[in-house]
Amino acid sequence: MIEILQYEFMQNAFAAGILASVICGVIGVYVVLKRLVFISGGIAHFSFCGIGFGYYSGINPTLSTIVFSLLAASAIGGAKHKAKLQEDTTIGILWATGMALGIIFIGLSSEYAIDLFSYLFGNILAVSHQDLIIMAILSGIIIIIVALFYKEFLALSFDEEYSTVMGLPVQALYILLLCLIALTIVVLIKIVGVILVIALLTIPATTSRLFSHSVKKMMIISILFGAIYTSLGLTISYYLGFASGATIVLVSGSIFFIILVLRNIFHIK
Amino acid sequence: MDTSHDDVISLEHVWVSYNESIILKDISLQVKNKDFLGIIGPNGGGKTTLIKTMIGLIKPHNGRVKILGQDPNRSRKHIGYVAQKNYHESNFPISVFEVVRMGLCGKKGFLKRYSSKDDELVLQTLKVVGMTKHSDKEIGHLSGGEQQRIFIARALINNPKILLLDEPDVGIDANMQSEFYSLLKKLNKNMTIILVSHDLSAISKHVKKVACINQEIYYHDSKEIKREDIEKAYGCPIDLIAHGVPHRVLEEHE
Repeated sequence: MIEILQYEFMQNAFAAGILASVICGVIGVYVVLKRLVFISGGIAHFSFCGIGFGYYSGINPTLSTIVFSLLAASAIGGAKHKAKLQEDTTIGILWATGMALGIIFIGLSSEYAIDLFSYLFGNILAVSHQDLIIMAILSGIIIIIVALFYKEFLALSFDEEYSTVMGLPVQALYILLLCLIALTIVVLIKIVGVILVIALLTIPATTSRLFSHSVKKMMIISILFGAIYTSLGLTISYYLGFASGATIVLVSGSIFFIILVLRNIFHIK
Repeated sequence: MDTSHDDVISLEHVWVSYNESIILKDISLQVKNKDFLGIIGPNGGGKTTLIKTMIGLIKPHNGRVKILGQDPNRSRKHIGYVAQKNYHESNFPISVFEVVRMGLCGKKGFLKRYSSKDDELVLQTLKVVGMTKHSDKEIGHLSGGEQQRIFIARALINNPKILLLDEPDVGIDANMQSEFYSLLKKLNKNMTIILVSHDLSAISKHVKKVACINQEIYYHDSKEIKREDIEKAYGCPIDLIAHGVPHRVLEEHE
């Protein structure tokens, strides 16, 4: 363990994993409790056109991904009460058109998209010092906003209709929450990629629900599980030479299932 | 339709439709201060829509709704609302205490934390509905009737002038039902209560006035509902037996 930490890219990778665990722990709880898994998948895949646009225009892909994922979040949140289309239909359309746009942009760009694969499946080993700084800033923003609006987000997730009745600006809060999910996704894409993002948003929070009876506790335990999953996955991928993002996801999924089976065997409630 | 001063709720020629089918047709209804109005009607007759229109969750495409003389969106803070289904995720990790305290969220304002005074108010309100001992329990671990009381507490914590209850007696057994209605009776001393129910006999026993709704409203500002009204509303003859009650819902059948 000490030996692998002597490389700077490994230090960065572990730091990125811990940062990701913190925001996944917090935001993932909302994704799971408010059942935003499909929406999060839609935002993640739509943001792929941000990556493509970055390549095409020469802008830093992380920055263009931030813009595009926030656009997707606002569109989905804004359409919720207005569009005649069903929400899951809207998301499905965004999901696929975003990916398609991304592919066209990349095809148009002169530069050969050498790390395209890392955006799809993540490459935590390629996290640079600058990436870490961007991730830290995004994480800071996310944590501060959640801390400020904790009681409103709790009301929104638990009972949206009653929140409306109480006069809370439900739609604005909902869009804000989706934007936080979008920012989280931007951070996570570095680590597990567009396609596997959903795993880190759901598995730590779902595991932690088994051990917690309040939203706050659920967040804290979820952060711990996230940290265990990413660090363990990273270590295993280093020694076995597996793809890091995929290994992290598999480790998360496996530990979750083991805990689930053990609980059922021992009938722990 | 004349609107007098003590009308806490006033609907004038309200029409509501959804996807081009009419749900509420020309509804006019005046509810007076400290009334206890029961709303009955067949499934799909528009009972829930009527309640949601009163609270401003549904906008009528024609007609006017006034709550305490104002638009529902402005006077909403005076309404306590208990929705029909506890659409809350029963697996949601939240304690009874937190659910009731959530009722304060709207008027608390952004960036403010709940104070110890708020917490005290939560405990007092839980006492009113007799649920103090469940304060720390997860809401999903309570029975349907207990949950209902918690949601009433959440509605009561703001000390509303009007309490709107949409089918609150679903999932409550007979024993709890009488307890439940005596709680409402107690609350009715201080506030106007409107209660939607499918249970005609329960309504007939406990409320002061009855309205029957099926697209159109049948209401005579009293507990009397004409047999033909009920039959028109339900679309078939209804036998209504009010159990051992000194007052009746239907007028004498000739």
